[in-house]
Amino acid sequence: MLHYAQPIARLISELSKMPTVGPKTAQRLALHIVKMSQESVNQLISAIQEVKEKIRRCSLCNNLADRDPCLVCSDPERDRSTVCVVAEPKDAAAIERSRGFKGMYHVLGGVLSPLDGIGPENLSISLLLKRMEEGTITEVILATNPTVEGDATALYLGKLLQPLGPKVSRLARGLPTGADLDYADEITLARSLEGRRDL
Amino acid sequence: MGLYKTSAIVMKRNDLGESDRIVTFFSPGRGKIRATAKGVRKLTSRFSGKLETFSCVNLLVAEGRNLDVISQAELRRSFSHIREDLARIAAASYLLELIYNFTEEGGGDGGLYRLLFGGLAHLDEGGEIFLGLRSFEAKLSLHLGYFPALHRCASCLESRRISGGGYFSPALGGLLCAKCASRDDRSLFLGRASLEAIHFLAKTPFSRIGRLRLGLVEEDQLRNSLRIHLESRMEKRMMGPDFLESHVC
Repeated sequence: MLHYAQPIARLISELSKMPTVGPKTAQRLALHIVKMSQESVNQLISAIQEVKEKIRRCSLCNNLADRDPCLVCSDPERDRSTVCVVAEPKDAAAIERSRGFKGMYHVLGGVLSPLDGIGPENLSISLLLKRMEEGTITEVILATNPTVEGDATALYLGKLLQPLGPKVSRLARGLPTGADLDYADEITLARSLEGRRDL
Repeated sequence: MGLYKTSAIVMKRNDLGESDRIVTFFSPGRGKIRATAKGVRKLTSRFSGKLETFSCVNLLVAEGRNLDVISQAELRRSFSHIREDLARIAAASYLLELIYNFTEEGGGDGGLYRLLFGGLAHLDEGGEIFLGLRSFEAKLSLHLGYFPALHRCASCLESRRISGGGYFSPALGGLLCAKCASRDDRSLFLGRASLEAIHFLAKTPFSRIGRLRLGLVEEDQLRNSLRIHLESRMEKRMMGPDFLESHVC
C-alpha cells in the first residue's frame, strides 16, 4: 500500500478485513470515500457507530435488534404458538419480506458443520429449548437452507424437539419460480414430485 | 489457459461475493481442484443443487489465472440418502476431512478417488457406519503407504512376541511387544482380534465388510488406534470423530 498516502492505505487495509471484500474492492471503496462529501462521510460514520451502540441480540429469539425483546417478540399480534427456526438474521428478514408468516422466530446463529467443527454448542439451541419449556409453542418450522449443513441442523433439531411434543416441519422443496426443468437437478425434481399439489 | 473435463466429488464450499461460491473438488486426474461457480447461490442458477457437498459430478472447467471457473456441471450421483441421516452426514464429512487433509492441489490419484467414491456409496446405500469408517481409514493408510507394521515388533523386530496382540505406537508406526512397550507412553493395546480386523477391513471391499463381528473392546481399540495413527501422520487433530462421538452416537 506504499503507492497511497498513509490514511488511504489504512482505510484500504481496514476495509479489506470485511467479508467478501478483496484488495481491489477495498481500494475502490476507499477511493470512493475520499470523493464523498463530508456530510455523506459523517452519515456513514454515525450509521456504523449507531449499529455498534444500539444493536444487540434479542434475549428471546436471538435475532439482531435495537431493543430487547425485539419488535417481533414484543408484537402482541404475532402467533406465539408457531416458531420458525432460521440460521441467520438475514433468513428471518427474507421470510418477513414474504409477508406469509405471522409467527415468531428463533435465530440459531449458524448451522452445524462437522467439516468446520461447528457443533450444537456453537448455536443458540439451549435458548430454543428454554422457550419450548414454557409450553406455548405447538409448531416448530425448521427453515434452514437445503444444503448438507442445513439438513444436518434440521435433523439434529428434529431429533431434539420431537420428543417434546410440538409439530415439527421443514420448508417445502421444489422448483423455484422461473426455473427451467431441463436444468433442475435430480434431488430438486424428486422433491418437487413428492411435494406436488392438486390444481 | 484452456478448458478441461473431469469427474469430481464436491468436498467443500465457501461463499464468494454476492452469489458465487468457491467449490473444492477431489478429482481422479488433478487431485484437489478449487474452482468458482458463478451465480450458484441464485435460485435459478443452472448449477443449483448439482454442486452440493458429497455430490459426484462431471465438470467442464475453464482454467483461470488464480482460480478455475466452472463452465458446466452434470450430476453423476448425488449420494442423497446420506443427507437423510445425521450420523451418515457426520461420517461422510469425516471421509472428506481425511481426503482433504491428505491431498494436495494438482496431485491426481485415481485410486484415492475410487476409495472416496466407494466410501460415500457405502454410506449412501445404508452400509454399517462404524465398519465403513474403520475400513476407509485402514484402506486409506494402505493406499498412502502408511499402513502400520503389525506383523512384528517395530522396535526389536521380533514377530513371535506380538502373536497374541501388542502395543500400537502411532509415533513408530507399528506394534511394540510387551518388552518394548515402554518406548512409547502413548501406545495402545491391540488384541489379536483387533489386528485381524484391521487387516480384514483394509483388504475387503466395502460390500463385504458387513460380515465382520466385533466386540465392544475391539471396537474401542480400532476406533482409537486408526484415528491416532492417521492423526499422527497428518500432524493434525481431526474434527469429524469428535463430532460423531459427541453429537451423533
